[in-house]
Amino acid sequence: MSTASQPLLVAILREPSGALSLPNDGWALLIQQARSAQLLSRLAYLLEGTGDLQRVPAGPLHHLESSLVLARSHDRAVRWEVASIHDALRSAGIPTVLLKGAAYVMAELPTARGRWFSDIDIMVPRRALADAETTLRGAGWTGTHADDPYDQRFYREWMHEIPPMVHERRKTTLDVHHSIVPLTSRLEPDADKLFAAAVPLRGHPGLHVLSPPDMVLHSATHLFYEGDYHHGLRDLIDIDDLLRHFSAQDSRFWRVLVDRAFAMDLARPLFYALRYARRLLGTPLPGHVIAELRPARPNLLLLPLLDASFQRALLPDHPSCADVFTPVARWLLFLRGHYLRMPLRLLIPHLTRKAWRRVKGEEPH
Amino acid sequence: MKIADVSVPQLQRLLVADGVALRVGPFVTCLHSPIAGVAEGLHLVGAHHPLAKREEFVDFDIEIRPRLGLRPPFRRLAQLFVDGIAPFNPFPIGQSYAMFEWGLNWCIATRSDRFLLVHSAVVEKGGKALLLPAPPGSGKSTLCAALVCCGWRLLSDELAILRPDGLLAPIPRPVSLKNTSIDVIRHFEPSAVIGGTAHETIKGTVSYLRPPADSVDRQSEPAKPAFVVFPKYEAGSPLRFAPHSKARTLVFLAHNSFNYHVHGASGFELLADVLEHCECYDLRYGSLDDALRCVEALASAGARERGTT
Amino acid sequence: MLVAVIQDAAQPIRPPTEARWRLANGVEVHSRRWAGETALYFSGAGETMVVSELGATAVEGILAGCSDLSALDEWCRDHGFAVRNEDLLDDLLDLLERLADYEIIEPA
Repeated sequence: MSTASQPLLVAILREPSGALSLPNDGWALLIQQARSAQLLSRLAYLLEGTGDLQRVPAGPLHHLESSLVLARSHDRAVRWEVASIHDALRSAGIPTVLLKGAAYVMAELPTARGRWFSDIDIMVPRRALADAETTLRGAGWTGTHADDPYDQRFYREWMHEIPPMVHERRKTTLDVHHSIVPLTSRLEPDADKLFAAAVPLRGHPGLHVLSPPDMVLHSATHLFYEGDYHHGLRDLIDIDDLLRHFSAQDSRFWRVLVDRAFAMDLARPLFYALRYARRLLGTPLPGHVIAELRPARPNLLLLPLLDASFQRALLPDHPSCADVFTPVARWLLFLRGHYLRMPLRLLIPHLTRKAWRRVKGEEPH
Repeated sequence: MKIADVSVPQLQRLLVADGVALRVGPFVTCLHSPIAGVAEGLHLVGAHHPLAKREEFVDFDIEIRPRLGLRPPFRRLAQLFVDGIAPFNPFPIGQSYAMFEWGLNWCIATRSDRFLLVHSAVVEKGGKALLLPAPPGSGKSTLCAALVCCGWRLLSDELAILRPDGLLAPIPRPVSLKNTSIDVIRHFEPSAVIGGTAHETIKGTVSYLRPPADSVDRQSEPAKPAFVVFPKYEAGSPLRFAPHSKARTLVFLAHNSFNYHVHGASGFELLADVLEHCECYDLRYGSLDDALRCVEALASAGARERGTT
Repeated sequence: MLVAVIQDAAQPIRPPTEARWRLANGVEVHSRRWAGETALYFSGAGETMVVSELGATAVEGILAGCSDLSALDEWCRDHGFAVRNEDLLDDLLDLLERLADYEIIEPA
């Protein structure tokens, strides 16, 4: 079922019932790939949805059921965390947009099912950032990287967030952003436009999620402008899910998405998102969309290299999904991610410093 | 076929080639390693263990590979891989067998959220299981090993695996003994088979007691919890055996669980249901023999009351 | 915050009866009682704890709608606990502090 370029996991995610005919070693490989890609609970939810879960043999069923127990617990924990953040920021009157995983859960989107993530991400207006930080500290969140002025500058001035905050008792992590790309990157989407289009979350006055096109664009930007692809497949699946869900709900969705991408200067990440979602996951795309995004293509000489890199890095990080070029591909994209997020004059000292700290053992690999 | 049915060289060949598949309670692990110490340890203290068929579904692929130390003193190291990924730092090659047992426990503990997992030894006699939850240094492993030498069935020396139906699933691996415990058990039961020793671990010297064949043979047979005993060894201490509050036992088990928080309310209800039918005690002792007599009396008193022996 | 009100000794202490609370959204209480002690689980917050008879009665009171100290005091009295007992008040305040700390109750 799996071909040289399509891992077993991807084939089964696209066609879950196909798992039932797997031999034992096929199941073992599937479970390993899914676990390495943080997609085990998603696989379990899909099989539950097609009514196939109880027909899974006992061995693999243990892992799938265990992942569902964890996923349900995670869902409860996210809702509790969001309620706590909401309570804290509501009193200060700071408009807040939930991003990524927390947004998918609270907006009850299909992509939330079985999706594993560790931090809550929120976005507040830049002018309210200091206020938000103070309010959150008063409610039990503490800052991190407090004694390192370089790290403080890295996060505050160059990236688009304050250093991650940790709740002192629950030890959960909260990332507070004021935009969806770093200040220093080449893209310049307008954060005010994101807020203006944000959709209020029912039952949570003051809390919002991004509008459907902005959600897709954020996911695409996050995936294709960062350097870490360890949840690349999960993020691509988010994009596929969001596109299918929103286009089914609104026939004008594609039109709005493309127009918004150009208006927000995010057409290039959308180009990548659609390209690789179609190639790896078979996301159905209307022809006009592909044509309209052609001006957003990267340099045609670069495209084959980018294709070769992304089509490797977006696969599960498991030995069965890697070939001899995969480490190089990941490394190239890591560099590219940094290059895109910071200008060269900041990048080289930054990477040098990271490398030095790794040698001294102060930083994880 | 059991591990004892193959020779050490044959076992070594298997470990290098297709790997050795072992059934451990509800799980199957497949082990690969070219390291001699692993084959030797496995052959000695895992002798009674059945070899699983290679066609079975493998839950955990464990590999222990030698590595060169790249920093002084350039010792020979090894590293543990689970499903092709190394979750931990390398360790001295002489500790390889111990790391297999430790790694296997880690796999089970981190990938079994369908069960409620509590850090506790579990043994069983007469159809009643005894849990011995306790922090390190309380003497629980020594007491567990001694009970096993006295005919109690071993379910686990580390992990109580509580199923949703309230029964405990066995994973009868060799019992890990540390430092002075090793000598205590050798003295207590001279015929005990102890091996797979790792020196200079963070816990000191660690050795493994081979579980009885009966415990391994019955590894698919769950057990019903009946007793929770909190052991505390203190040299020279007189025996003190007193009831322990069930409510506090519940909270202790919850706080010494690997994944209680994941189960939410149903975890609480499961522990509460289990404890409804358990007797809970504190056991303070300075003599292993005293402690054993006490536990045996507990088990047979219970048996007498229930009209069984 | 409720905890600050109870603990604040720097400013004149407001009579505790003025502090009002409610059970936090999404919190459900599970309990099991054995021989004078009760084990409690608060879903949402995900906390497990042991309380005495008084504590169990107080939690029942909170669930029944007691939202300030005088109401809780009266509830406990109605359920068999001594009147105007200093220790009783202290015990209740301790419990309320724990519950507030874990965000099981919040200021109303």
